[in-house]
Amino acid sequence: MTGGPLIVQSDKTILLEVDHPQAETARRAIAPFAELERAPEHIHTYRLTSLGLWNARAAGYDAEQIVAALIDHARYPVPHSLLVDIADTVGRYGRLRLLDHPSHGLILDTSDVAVLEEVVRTKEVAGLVGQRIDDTTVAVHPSERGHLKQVLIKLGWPAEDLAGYVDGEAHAIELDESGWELRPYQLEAIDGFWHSGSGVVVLPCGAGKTLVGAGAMARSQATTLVLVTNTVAARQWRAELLARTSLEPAEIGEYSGARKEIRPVTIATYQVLTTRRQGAYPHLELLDARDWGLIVYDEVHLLPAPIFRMTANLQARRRLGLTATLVREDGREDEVFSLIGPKRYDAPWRDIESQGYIAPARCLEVRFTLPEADRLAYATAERTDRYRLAACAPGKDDIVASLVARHEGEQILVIGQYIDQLNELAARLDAPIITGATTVPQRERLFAAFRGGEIPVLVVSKVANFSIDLPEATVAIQVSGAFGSRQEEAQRLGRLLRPKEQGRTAQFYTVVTRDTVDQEFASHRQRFLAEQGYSYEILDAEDLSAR
Amino acid sequence: MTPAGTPHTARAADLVRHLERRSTDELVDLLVQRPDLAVPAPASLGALAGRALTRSSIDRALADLNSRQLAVVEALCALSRVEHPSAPRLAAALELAVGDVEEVLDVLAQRALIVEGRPVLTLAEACGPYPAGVGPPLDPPQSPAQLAQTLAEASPEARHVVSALAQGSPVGLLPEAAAESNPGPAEATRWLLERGLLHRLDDERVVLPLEVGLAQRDGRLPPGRSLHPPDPPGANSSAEHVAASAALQAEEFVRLTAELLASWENQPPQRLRAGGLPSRELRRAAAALGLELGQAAVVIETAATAGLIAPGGRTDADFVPTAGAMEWAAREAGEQWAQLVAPWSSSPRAAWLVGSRDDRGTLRAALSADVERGWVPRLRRRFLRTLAHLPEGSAPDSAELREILAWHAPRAPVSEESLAAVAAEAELLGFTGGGALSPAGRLILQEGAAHAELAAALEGALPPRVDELIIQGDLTGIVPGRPTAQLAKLLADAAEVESRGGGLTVRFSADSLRRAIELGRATVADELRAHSITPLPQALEYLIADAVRDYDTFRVGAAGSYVSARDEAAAQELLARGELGPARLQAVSPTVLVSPLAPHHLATLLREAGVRPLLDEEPPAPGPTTTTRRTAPAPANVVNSGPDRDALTDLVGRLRRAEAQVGAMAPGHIVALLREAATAAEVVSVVMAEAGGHHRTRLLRPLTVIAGRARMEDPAAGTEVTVAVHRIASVTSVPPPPRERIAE
Repeated sequence: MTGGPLIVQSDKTILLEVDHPQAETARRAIAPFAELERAPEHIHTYRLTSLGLWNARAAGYDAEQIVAALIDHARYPVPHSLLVDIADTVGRYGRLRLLDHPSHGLILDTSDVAVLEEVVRTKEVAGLVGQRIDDTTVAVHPSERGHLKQVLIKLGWPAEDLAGYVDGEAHAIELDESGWELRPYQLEAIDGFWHSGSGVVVLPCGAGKTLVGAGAMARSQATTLVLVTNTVAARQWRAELLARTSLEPAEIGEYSGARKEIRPVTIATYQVLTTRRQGAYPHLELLDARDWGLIVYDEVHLLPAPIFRMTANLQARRRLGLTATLVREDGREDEVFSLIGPKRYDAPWRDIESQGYIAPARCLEVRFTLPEADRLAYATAERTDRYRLAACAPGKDDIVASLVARHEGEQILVIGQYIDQLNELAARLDAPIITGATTVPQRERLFAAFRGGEIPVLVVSKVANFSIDLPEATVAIQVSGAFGSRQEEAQRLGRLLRPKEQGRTAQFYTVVTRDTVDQEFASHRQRFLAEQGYSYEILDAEDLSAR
Repeated sequence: MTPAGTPHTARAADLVRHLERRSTDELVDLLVQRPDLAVPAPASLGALAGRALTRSSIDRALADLNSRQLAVVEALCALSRVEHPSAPRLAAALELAVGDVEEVLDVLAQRALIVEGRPVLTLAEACGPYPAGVGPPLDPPQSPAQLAQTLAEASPEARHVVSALAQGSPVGLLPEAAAESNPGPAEATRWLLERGLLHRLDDERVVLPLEVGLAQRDGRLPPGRSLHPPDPPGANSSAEHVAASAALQAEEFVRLTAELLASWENQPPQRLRAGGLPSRELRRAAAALGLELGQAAVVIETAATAGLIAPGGRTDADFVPTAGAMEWAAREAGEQWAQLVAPWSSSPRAAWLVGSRDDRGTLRAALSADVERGWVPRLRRRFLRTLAHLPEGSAPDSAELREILAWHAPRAPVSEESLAAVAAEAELLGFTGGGALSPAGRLILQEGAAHAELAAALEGALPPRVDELIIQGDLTGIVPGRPTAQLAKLLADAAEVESRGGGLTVRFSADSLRRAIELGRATVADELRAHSITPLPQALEYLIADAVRDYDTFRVGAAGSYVSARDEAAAQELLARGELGPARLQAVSPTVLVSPLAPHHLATLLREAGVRPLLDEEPPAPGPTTTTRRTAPAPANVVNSGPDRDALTDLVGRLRRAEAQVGAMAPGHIVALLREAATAAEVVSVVMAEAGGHHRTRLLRPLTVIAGRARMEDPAAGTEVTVAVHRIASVTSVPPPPRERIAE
């Protein structure tokens, strides 16, 4: 009972009072083992999870330190049962270890024979391990290293992977820090990753994740495979690597639908890797095409399931996951943890914003009321059609037009889900449109023109959700989205967060139809950003047009 | 073999005299310390003495002794076979301080286990054939000098045999006769047997007599029981921390109970035909409370013990909150806790048995008779007392706790499972914080502790209440501490609780705000603003406005009757009429008026005013509301007052008077005298009821007293009689004529 800034709840959440004088000390004390769940303006919520505790254990923290951190900073007594639970959970990590044995190769070794007995008797593990070497050791086939780790985590006995990594084929890569330097948090992120060999770095959009990737490549000094979401992102990576590192164009290959180059640094799209032909993945060989020393997964929250399976076989290679949000709409965070690795670095968006590394943003929700006639149509519509009806309400066009007029002279993105709606808007605003049907060269040309300021307004579908650098955009208007996807909202806001000239504030509008599912979905989507400390202002469309 | 009854053991008559000489207070203490003596109330001091001498009562008394006290008892019983040991003699034999021994002897005398330093006969028997690990006295006796001399003559082989038997058990196996390769041991044993330094038990075994063992060990008894309590574990956490974490848990327990009662009020669980709660109802309760099944069973059992739940509903087919539960709900949290947990230490309910299976494989149900165990209160009190003896803040782990308990009561072994269960209950109820006893937990042990004291101890340990709320842009609200009752109620109405613990976090949603408005909080925004230390986020303002707007569409009010007018003018005319004032008409729309009066009253009033209304069909009168309160009788509000000393004082008074009035003997007393005479092989005068109803006195020598029947020998006639003990009216000892002393 120190009157500290932490309040420990019985459901294993920890509340941190941000304005408390000791808040920063307490945050540092708990950050290694508690996952930041929400970071709104006054009270941040952390959660103790098994994964988080094991992660801390892996980083060298023991149960005593964790318990002490909680007790020292807690305002009220910490429930004893919780402390016992923490000690128990932490104690489960590391009883099983994956080691590289000089004569037996990869082995699973234990300090607790009972645990080994328990796990090898389960049918999940039985198929993955080989011969029993002695009481405390069992052989493991190197190809099952990933699967075994996955299974052991599900059984609650996570293995400590000390089998090490292959260095891969050496290749000289240096950062070219002329006129810029890595930001302190980027350095911390790179260190955090490199120290442990594999894991995920969580940084907000616009905070320079590509540079963390480049930094990791410079550390590993080895051939690297970069996996990205789409071709445009691949080209951006390439441009960034050319500008920020010693790599020459001939050293960087693109492995996409269009080109199949394998070079010391190869950038491949998820799509091409997961293409199936006659039940097989023809491009899987890429993974073995070179002796890669490092694999970078961009936007790891979007990693498709087949890539997880492929990754299970790559456990001997260093793996770096990059993302702005670990929230996966499919809830497969655990697979990211066990196959790519634990989270190695995370910083609240607002912290990085307040340090001036990403642009400040204002989120506005514009609500408009359906006209009487449309309300009736909405009320009688089939449930499945309601969102489309509400999201594509004709009235939205006027509001978008008035918003565009309001921000004349600024670079404006109009983002939506439904192509018909976007086409109408494009016609109404006389602006070009980019959808999935737009060819890659055409996309690149339009993006370039937008960056250059020749096109002030660009209408884009969800193809522009990720990995597109548009630092000049200062206004985004969202007219419809993928139901209640929280990560989509975050990614769309992310388009605006690249730092602006003269520190201008970005404006992120969402146009929402009042009293419909559109409003419900909008509030669900906004939850992630609200939890990150962005408050939404609500505007009435009527007020907007009056002004 | 010398009988256990020797001149150095106390006889029943000695015990009766001992009891007669005790002060009333001392007798009350005795009844408190050996509660089995008072229930059912004995008829006289003789009967009390008889009961105190029964083997079962002695065993119970022994179960309450700690390891050191038992060691003294055993030493006393062992040495009493040959002498009347003084405290210093016992202290030397045990290597204890004389003061410690005297202290123990006082306790034993207080509990009527010894009289004037001599063990009562049954106690000597209860100690077994080899108390303190020593054998029977020498037979025939030898003087110490004689014994020393014989021992001095013994061969090294013989001395080795004596020394071996003096260290551990005094019983040894006879060596293989004439093992030719090594005749030594057999030869030594034969030598010792011949000189009476070993007794032959049977064909195979010998026993070392008491005096020989003592001589070998310089007058000390072999080491047996541990004489000093195990070192208490150190304090694991500060006293404040213990108090505070236990108090938070106590408050949580009260909340869980309140939630259980509320849930059962709305949806009472069914009762099994055999009594008890069906396991699906237990699962439902556990899910509603967010607890494991075992913990939910504790909450349910505790609430029932405190009289908050009882069978009820029609034909008692359900369990329902009692009328007492309503009063309970209205009390302060501290009072609530005190009322809930005070009966715990005396309750025989073993909630941890819920869900286990009995011998026939049937599940034991909560609230059923299957989970009641008579020994549970004793275990709970021992658990609390043991913790109370430790330094403040020390939290022994289960192994340490068992070790300490084993020292404090070695004759009452505790199963690991029950001890762990009791410890878990104590933690859940808030008696312990992290395994260390809280100040409130100490109070429970105190006799006569009032609910108010418990409540005050609890309130004192809780952090102060917080009346502020922090509302954030993501529509969560946080109370950074324990909310005040008013704030807690507001949040329970207007938001969904997300987590509890040191603080309270809630989430506002459209549904929760609608519920608040339904509950009559139309100004929920203002109420929240009054508590919030930050301005309400705009998103919440909109959410509340949306919820209020939903409710503006329809309104509901009470009216007894309506008047529907053909047009607005007609309605306005009625409103304007002065003589219709008593009808208290109100316009709810331009053409519809309502009145609180019943339709036929209103119609009469209108007719008197010259208006001719048509009476629409009258709706059936609303029946009584279906929410009639089911009440079940609440048991008396049990306070842990400890044993009722006043009642015991009355009892002692009655016992004294009874002894003065009647010389009649209680059966227990008769049995004690018969057994005493049997062990001493004495002839006693026995008054027996004959078949015809008249009494007959005979001189008889009791042989055995087993299962309520006494087998006795008539030494004059040389015959045996077997008589049911209940036919014996009295037993008196006969001073034996010196010549007729019956030899063994």
